[in-house]
Order: sequence, then structure tokens, then C-alpha cells
Amino acid sequence: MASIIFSNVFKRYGTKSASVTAVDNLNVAIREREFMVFVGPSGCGKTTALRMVAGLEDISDGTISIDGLIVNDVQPRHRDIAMVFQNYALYPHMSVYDNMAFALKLRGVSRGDIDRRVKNASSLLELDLYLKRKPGALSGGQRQRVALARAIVREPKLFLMDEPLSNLDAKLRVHTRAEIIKLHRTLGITTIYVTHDQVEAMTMGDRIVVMRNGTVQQCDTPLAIYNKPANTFVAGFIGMPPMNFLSASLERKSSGGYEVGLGSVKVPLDCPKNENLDRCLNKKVVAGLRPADIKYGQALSSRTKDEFINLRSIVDIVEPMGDVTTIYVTAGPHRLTAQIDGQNKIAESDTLDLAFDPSRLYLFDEVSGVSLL
Amino acid sequence: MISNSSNETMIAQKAPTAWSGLLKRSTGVSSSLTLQQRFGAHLILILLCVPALLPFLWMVATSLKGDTQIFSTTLTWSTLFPYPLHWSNYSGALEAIPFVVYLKNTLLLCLVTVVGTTFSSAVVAYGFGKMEFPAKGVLFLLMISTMALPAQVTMVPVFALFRWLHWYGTYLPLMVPSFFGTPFYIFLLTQFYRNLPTTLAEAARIDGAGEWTIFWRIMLPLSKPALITCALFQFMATWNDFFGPLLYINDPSKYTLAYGLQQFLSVHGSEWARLMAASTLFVLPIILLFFLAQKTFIQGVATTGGKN
Ligand SMILES: Nc1ncnc2c1ncn2[C@@H]1O[C@H](COP(=O)(O)OP(=O)(O)OP(=O)(O)O)[C@@H](O)[C@H]1O
Ligand SMILES: [Mg+2]
Repeated sequence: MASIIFSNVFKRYGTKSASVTAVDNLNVAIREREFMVFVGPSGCGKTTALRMVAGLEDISDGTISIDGLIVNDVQPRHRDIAMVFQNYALYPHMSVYDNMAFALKLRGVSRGDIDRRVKNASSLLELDLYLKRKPGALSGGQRQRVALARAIVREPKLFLMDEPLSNLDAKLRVHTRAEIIKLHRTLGITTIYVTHDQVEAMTMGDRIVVMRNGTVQQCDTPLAIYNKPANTFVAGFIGMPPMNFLSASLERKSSGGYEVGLGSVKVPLDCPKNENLDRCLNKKVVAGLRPADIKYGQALSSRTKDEFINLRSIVDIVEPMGDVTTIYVTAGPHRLTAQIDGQNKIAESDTLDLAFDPSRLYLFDEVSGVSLL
Repeated sequence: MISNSSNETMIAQKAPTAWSGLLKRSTGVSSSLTLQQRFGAHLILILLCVPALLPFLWMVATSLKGDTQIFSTTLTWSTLFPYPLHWSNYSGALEAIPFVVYLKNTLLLCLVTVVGTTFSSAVVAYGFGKMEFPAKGVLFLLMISTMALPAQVTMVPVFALFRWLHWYGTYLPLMVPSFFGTPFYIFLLTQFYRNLPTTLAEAARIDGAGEWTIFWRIMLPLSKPALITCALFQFMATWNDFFGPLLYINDPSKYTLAYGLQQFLSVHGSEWARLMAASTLFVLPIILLFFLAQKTFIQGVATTGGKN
């Protein structure tokens, strides 16, 4: 079990004159036993950050420490970590058993111990039947499990996983997702998990680091990130379907509070005096509204109807999914995505009365995108 | 007519089982051919083989003929095919030259040079293919450029060098250089190593392997097909090498087959039947080797432990 601290970590590729900064001043502290997810779009530097922890990539600047020990110059094999690669990187010429035993053999573990540990790991991941097979004779899901098993036989103090589920089909991905979480609960090994899939991040992480262009946008628990995204990027990245962004204006109510103008609709803001908001008064801001916060029909009780803000909308596209239906609508000048109960019967070009709770409205600075609330 | 067509389908049906697998893999086209087209294609290929095969067949035929047949001046069916079969030419050939001694010498040289050159080339190639070091590009280019250097250019200085080392008359000049890699094999293997997934090496590094272990336990086993190709090339090169023994070997008990055969010619110049028998024996192992190794050539590269 280990704690990891990134301290002002930079990674630059290429020469001084034409360099790419893949990781830009990363500062994250990962606690013991934590399942930390690094998430972000392609090319944001997640893999690079992970590889620096593994020791496969030099650190251009700053320090990474494991259990308080700076590991910048420590060889990968002395860091006591295990890594699951995106393409699994199983040794093709070795049987599943030998793949799992390889690291133990190199560490001089006795034969009996190797056998016991391999058997344990393989029964944990239901691989007993395949121990004699070569990786080439396994399905994608089985290979994935071998890659996991190879990592856990090591009994390392830190797991690194680089998009281990991205090659699996949707169903298997959900299944294995749960399996990895279960494994983490059982073994309690600190894990850094890299993914570009926000669903994986939300469902798996104790905490999430959202990255973009090498910089950390936000680091918090999944719910905190969902409820209080630090900026428009995080708000748009976490949550599915993505948050609606509407151009709005911020005004002062005659009675003293704030008020958001969404075209002709005025939304009162129930929020204390705030420097950020004061700075943006009478200026344009970006309002955010999650599709799931837009209600329709039965979801609106008579009580809430009075407090909610009504949005008369025309339906453009309907995407039924059974449990929920995603509708794309036009409400005045705004185009919105809404997610409503799947049992509603809705057709294209219907006119609907949608409504949302004003307290669920997000506000962001128009230029910097930083959250104002 | 009926018998003719049934005959044709019989051959055509046999052909796919034997060859189409091979063809499919190498061209990917044959599956779109009809049986007739495939039959035609094979016919053409077989005809094209004739010029290449003719000298070989002639050699084998001559090795089984008696002198009267060999020296008959008319070319008829009866002189073309050996009859009766003079198997004694073979025993004669084996007696006329110390065949077994030459064979032993040749095999020894083959073994040492094959192991030496394959291994040393693989080490160097792995360095070029998978490791980073200063001036790698320049060094690689330099190594490649030595391939353009004809052996004749370096022959005299190399000979002088080995004489200065007092290696003249021993196998050392024929063996030792093979332990320093061969540019062509290095080039071949470098391409191979470059294409092996880097994550395998990284996985091994995290698993606790040092650079040497990665090479020895992961990369070398994975490059088996390429190594076998190099080994085969080197085996043939040493087996057929005439010039090396000619330059450096003067003791008849150390002659190799290629060189010894030439000696046979100068001593028993007119005994064509036995010469051809000896020659047949000489090429037989090469042919056998190719037959056995064919699979490895075709098998190609199984390197993915990944998603594919
Ligand atoms: N060896 C390299 N040389 C130069 N640039 C590199 C190198 N490796 C990565 N980069 C750059 O660094 C940035 C981050 O790459 P990284 O692989 O960490 O992205 P990622 O977040 O893992 O993306 P993905 O989700 O696509 O795997 C990218 O812009 C990439 O082009
Ligand atoms: Mg990546």
C-alpha cells in the first residue's frame, strides 16, 4: 500500500526549441489504498503521467514520490509496482502460467510459492482452465484477465492501469469494471487508473483527476465533480449526455439578489453575495444545465411546478433508450438536450413544456470558463 | 473426353489441398480463381521451374549413369535417363574422397558460424532496433554501408591480418569473424525488432527484468522466425563457401566439402559419374533443410500478445 505525490511534475518531449509539454505542472496527492482515476480526452497526458510513475518515462521537472521517497531516479523494477497495459503486453511465447510467474521467477521466489500465488490469482480471476494456453489462444476478455492476474500475483504496493478495458466489448467492459472494483476492495492496493471514458471514471474512482492538455482541471470525488465542476471543460466532460451550455446574462434583481437572463426567461439565483458574480454583473456569462435536470410530465409535481422555470420547447430529435429518452429540443434561442423518463410518448416537432429547478443551474465565466458559483 | 475431364478435376482437386493454402497466404488472390485458372497457373509455374531444375536433374541423372551412357554422343531417350542405375557411383564417390571427414569439417564450421553469427547479429540488431544511444543513425548507416563493400576489396588486408595473428592454416579465420555479426542479418533483424511491441519490453522491465533478461527471455524467443531465416542463410553460405577454405586451409584433413569437391575434380577429372554423385550428396542436405524449414519461412511472425 502506497501513497503517491506528484509535485510540480512536468514532462516535455522533443528539443528545447520545438518541445511538446505533455504534462504541465501536475500536483496530485494519492492516498494509501485509494483508487484514483485519471480521465481526460485523447492526448491530454494521462498515459504520460502514468508512465512517469512506472519509471518508463523520465521526469523533465518536479518530483514523484512513492511512500515519501522520491523515485525520479529509481529503476522501474525497484519501485514495486505492477502495470496493466492498454494492449495487455502479454508475453506471446509464454503460457498463461509463465506469464504470471515471470516476475516472481525474476525475483527469486521459490517454486512452491510461485505455484501457490499463481493458483490464487488464477482462481480469483477464473483463469484456472487456461493456465497452459498461450495468450494467442485466448479471447480478448480472457487476455484482459490474464493481464490483471499477472499484475496481482506480484502483490505490489501500487497498481497502474492504462485503459485496460478499452479493447473489450460494451458488456464485458461493464462486467470487468465491477470485477476490478471488487479486486480493489479485496486487495486494497493503491491504484492509478487511466481512462478517457467518463463513465468508468465516475463508477470506479474514489477520486478523479480530470486532465486537459497536460494540466489538471479538477481533482475530487466523482459526486463533487459532478455537482461542482470547476469549469466548463469539466462540466462538459463529466456527465452523459453532456451538459447544455447557454449564453446568458447576469443581472441584479430589484430585490437585491442575482438573476440570470436566458433570453426572455429570467431565472432568480438563490445564492449569497459572491465576488465572482459581482465581477460579472451585467455581463455575458455561460449557464449550464444538465440534461437530466430538465424535467417533463410526471416528473413535475404540482408543488415543484411553481418553483421550476418553464421552457416551452419544440422537439427536434427523439432518441428512446427504454429506461430514458434523450430529446433534442429548441427552446426559444436555445438548443437543449434533455433526458426524460422513457415511458413518455413523444414525437418529433411536438411542443413540450419542459422545466428545470433554478438551483440546478451552473454559471461559468464567459472567457475563462471558470465556475462562478 | 469424359476420362479427360475427370482426370483434370482429379489433378485440380489435389492441387488445392496441397498448394492453395500456401498460395492463399502469399497472394490472397488464388481464392478468386476458378479451378481451371488455378490449374493453368500451376502449369505455367511448373514450366518456369524447368530451366532452374534442368541442371539439377541432369546432375542427378548423370550421377546414376554408366560411362557408356555419359559419353555417348547421341541425345536419345535411352541416353537421357540412366539405365541401368549405377548406385555404385555413390559408393565410389565416397571412397574417392574422404567424404565423411569433409562432412564433419563442414558441419563443424556450419555449426560454429551459424550459432556465432545469428547470436551476435541478434545482439547488435536489438541494440539498433530497440535501444536509444547517441549517434545510432550514423552507426547504423555505417554498418549498412559495409554491405556495399565487395569482399575482394578487403580480402588481402584481412588475409594479412590473420597471417599476422598466426591463424593461417586453422579454422579461426573462418569462424571468429562470424562472432562479430553480419551486416545483412543485422539489418534484417533490426527491422524485425523495431516492429516488436515496445510495451513487451516495458512490461518485462516493470516485472523486474534487466536489459539483458529482456533480450534473452522475451525478444530472442519472439524473433525465432527471423533468427531461423538468418541461420539458414548462414548455413548455406558456410556450406557453399569455397573461397574461405581455399585461402586459409592447407591441410587436406581440414578440407570442407565445397573445397574437397573441387580437389576431386582436379584429381579425378574425368570421372563424371562419381563427381556428379559427390555433387548430389553435396546439395542434398541443403535441399532437405529447405524442405524442413519451409514452414518456418511461411509461418511468418506470431508476435502479438496484445489485442489482435
Ligand atoms: N514520445 C513522444 N514524443 C513526443 N510527443 C509525445 C510522445 N509521447 C506522447 N507525446 C505527446 O504527449 C501528449 C500526451 O500523450 P499521452 O500518451 O500521455 O496522451 P493520453 O492522454 O494517454 O491520450 P490517449 O487517451 O489517446 O491515450 C500527446 O500530445 C502526445 O502527442
Ligand atoms: Mg494513453
